[in-house]
Amino acid sequence: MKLENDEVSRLSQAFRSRLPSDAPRSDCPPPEHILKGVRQELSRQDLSGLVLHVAQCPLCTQSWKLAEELTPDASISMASAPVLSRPGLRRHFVGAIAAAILLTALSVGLYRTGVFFPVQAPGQVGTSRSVEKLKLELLIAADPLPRDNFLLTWTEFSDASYDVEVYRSNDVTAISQARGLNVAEYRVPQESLAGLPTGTNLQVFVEVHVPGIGAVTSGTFTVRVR
Amino acid sequence: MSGGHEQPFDRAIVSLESRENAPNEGAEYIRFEKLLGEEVRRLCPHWLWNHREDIVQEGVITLLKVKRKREANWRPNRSYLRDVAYTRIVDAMRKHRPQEVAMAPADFDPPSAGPDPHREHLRREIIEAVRECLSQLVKPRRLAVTLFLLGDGVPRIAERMNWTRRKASNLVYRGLANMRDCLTRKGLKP
Ligand SMILES: [Zn+2]
Repeated sequence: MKLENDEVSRLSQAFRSRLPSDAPRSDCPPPEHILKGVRQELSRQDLSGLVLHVAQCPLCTQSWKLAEELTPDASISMASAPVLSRPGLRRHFVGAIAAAILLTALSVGLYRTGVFFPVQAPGQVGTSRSVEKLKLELLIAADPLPRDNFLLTWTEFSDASYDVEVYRSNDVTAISQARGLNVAEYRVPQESLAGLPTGTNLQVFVEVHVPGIGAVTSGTFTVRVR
Repeated sequence: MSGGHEQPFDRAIVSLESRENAPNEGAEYIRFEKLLGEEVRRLCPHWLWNHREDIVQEGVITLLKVKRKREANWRPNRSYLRDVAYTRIVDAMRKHRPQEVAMAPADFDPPSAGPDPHREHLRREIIEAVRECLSQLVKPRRLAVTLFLLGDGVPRIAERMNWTRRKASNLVYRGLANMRDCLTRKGLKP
């Protein structure tokens, strides 16, 4: 049973909403603990405990979302939101402006989607304040992209190789993937897109392997199918 | 939870206190207040705006206490200021409730909107049902769906929970299907 995009969007919004009657619970973790959870500075067990609490606590849900807004790293999860809710659209727009300012010299004629994704080297995730950040941006000709030429291009890093995964947003079904690409582009096979309704949101995830740094992960870009 | 039930902060008292320990703390107070005020204004949810001065003052007290333990020229960097602003805002969120339904954050509107009282009732019903259905998921699916609803994509969920992406994807997919079944049983359409 699949949920449509707008259903997931409403589910997500309802989950993030707070009612005036919501009161803090006696077992709410300290704010510092939530910050650590968002920044991946907790053990897996502690993180599980925190997420299970957040699942039941509207106040801590809000605190989690607020913690994500604290640092530039937060744009990873903002941008990988399962659907483009209204605030998501606003961030998308702001991100696009930032992209335009910083990258005007690059790729004339290409449409830039999403926001910048600071990418983090695994193993450094726990020290997000000091982690080296690379700016990874998806560059596409249009949004939505035509299914007969669904060409994804992204920021190129010297000597890097790339893994790409594409999911359908509404039910996170894998659509297509490629590993070990030597060029910063990938054309999603037309047959993988056959049968998807026009306007389907796809999530695109890029992993960059940079010599001397290792694999660095990005957030997820959202692109629609035409 | 912070000691947020204190009387409103009195800047003059702190300035006098500070003169005994460090002659420049009054100036520090003003500097911290300005720096922290910017971060609090940026982060503070709109329904807490009436309390933002208190939030800043509590944050400044935190900073002054930290500074007393550090070397004389210690200055909080921006990420430290944000963390202090965050912890004080979360404390305030726990202390105060939105005054009116209309001021509650996250603009969630039920899909079939009727007259206002009905809409508000439906809104509340859906929000509560989502939490309830979530609580009925088996633990791994609850973890995956919660992170998904918080905005994480599958790769991010996999990374956080140390799962393969395939596992994360399956858990989100099946968890969302369970959520829909649960909401449908309650007579609600997501
Ligand atoms: Zn809580």
